[in-house]
Amino acid sequence: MNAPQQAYTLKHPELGTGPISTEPNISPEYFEREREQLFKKCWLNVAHLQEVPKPGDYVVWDLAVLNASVIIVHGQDGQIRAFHNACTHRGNKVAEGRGNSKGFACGFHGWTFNTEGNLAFVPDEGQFFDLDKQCLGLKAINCDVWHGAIFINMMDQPRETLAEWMSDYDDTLGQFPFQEMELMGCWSADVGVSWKVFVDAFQESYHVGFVHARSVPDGFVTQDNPYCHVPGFRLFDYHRATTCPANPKHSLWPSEAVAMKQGAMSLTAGGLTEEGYPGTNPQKIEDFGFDINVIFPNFFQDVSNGWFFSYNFWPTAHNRTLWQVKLFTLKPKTPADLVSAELTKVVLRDAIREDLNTMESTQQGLDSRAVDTVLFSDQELACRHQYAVVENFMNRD
Amino acid sequence: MEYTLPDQFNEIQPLAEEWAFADEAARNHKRRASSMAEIQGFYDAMRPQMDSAMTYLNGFKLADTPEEAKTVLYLALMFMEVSTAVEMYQEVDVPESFPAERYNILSPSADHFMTAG
Repeated sequence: MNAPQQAYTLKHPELGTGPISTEPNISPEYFEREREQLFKKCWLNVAHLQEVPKPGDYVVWDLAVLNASVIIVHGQDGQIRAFHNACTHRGNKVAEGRGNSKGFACGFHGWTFNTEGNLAFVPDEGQFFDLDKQCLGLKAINCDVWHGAIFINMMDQPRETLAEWMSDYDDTLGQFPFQEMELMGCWSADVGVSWKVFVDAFQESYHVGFVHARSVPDGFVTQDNPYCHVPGFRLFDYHRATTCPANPKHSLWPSEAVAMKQGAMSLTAGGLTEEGYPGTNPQKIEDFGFDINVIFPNFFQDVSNGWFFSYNFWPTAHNRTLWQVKLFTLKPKTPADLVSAELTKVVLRDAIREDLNTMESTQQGLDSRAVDTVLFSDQELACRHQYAVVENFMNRD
Repeated sequence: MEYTLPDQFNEIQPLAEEWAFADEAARNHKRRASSMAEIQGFYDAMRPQMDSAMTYLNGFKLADTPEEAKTVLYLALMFMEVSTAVEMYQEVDVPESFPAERYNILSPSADHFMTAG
């Protein structure tokens, strides 16, 4: 579908229509405010349940924006928890990477914690004074799970529960059959760009006909919709969502034809089924591609028929971001299903490398202060929304 | 590794030693280390075999995949790896893109799905 001219932004007068300052993307001071007032106060996705499926499974993330190293662990009791990765003896890290373990032994002096975080063993314990092991477990971080996505919150008492925080998505994303999906692809990159500029690149489809001119334009851009207009926006207090259309008349490449005969849904033909998946395409548009669901501030879950992918944007400086994408498809049953999913993987992976190509070049332009504002069209309303709600969140009481 | 394919795939047997990999990172590395002519040659040899390969690979549950079928699987995965080079870009690697050496491939190996209980 081709959107009418300037149909959406004017419905949100609080967002205005004017230029947006580049300061939030080039200022170290602004980033320090974000660190303290946003990232340390927000629910943040750190892993998917499938990355720690069994008791004892753990993954460690060093999160520069939180000034913290975090252990996410599936306890022997079945509960998912998060802890500061710091020994309560003298502060050394007790775990790294990922794996499966009955507990975490500090490499410095052998203090050992179980998967529930309790201090289980202190070598030469009798030499310590007034040691209360009950109170010396790993320092817990608030942790909860929403439909398979594991979140942490660094506040002692988060202002809202994760369920409350995610409730804007109960009717859409919350209905998606995440439990039918399996992690098939994972890619990461360390990119010299502000996390918000990075987010912007994936929440508008104006770029598709240009950045992806050689790869997937026939999948999304049509004569009727040459600029890949989205059919509207769902703007929430902080989160935001839109729907990327696809080309229903996309002609399949030979490899796509092989994959789709097996039941896979290609990125470029994501929505071309009779009946959509639950939780997708809330506007029921005929040329549905996939939904872009931005979970404020730095997490995406983009869903379609038979697959979804997630992005995590972890700033390490005002102009540097550690980024990760994970692709999930329907659980494979036969080796042929792996081949079919591989097409979806490779097309997505290669197309994203095209997206990333503009990031450092954009940041360099901003850092040069050649421009001090940027412009967002009606079709880039999600980008405009981001700058307003980052500021709104940081000004919450 | 055992590279012998079932008899019905005799025509692609010569490809097995050089193009069969369980890991996406290894497949992508092989693609980028090959010339376009080599990639086109592999693609052209595989393409007529893909339908029968998919039918054959559909005959096994993942956990019960026999060794000779794994090699067929690895080659079929490699076909998908090079498909964007041949069908989209007509170049070995993605043109005008973020550098491949800075783009980490962390996907689970195909073997993970055939051993996970």
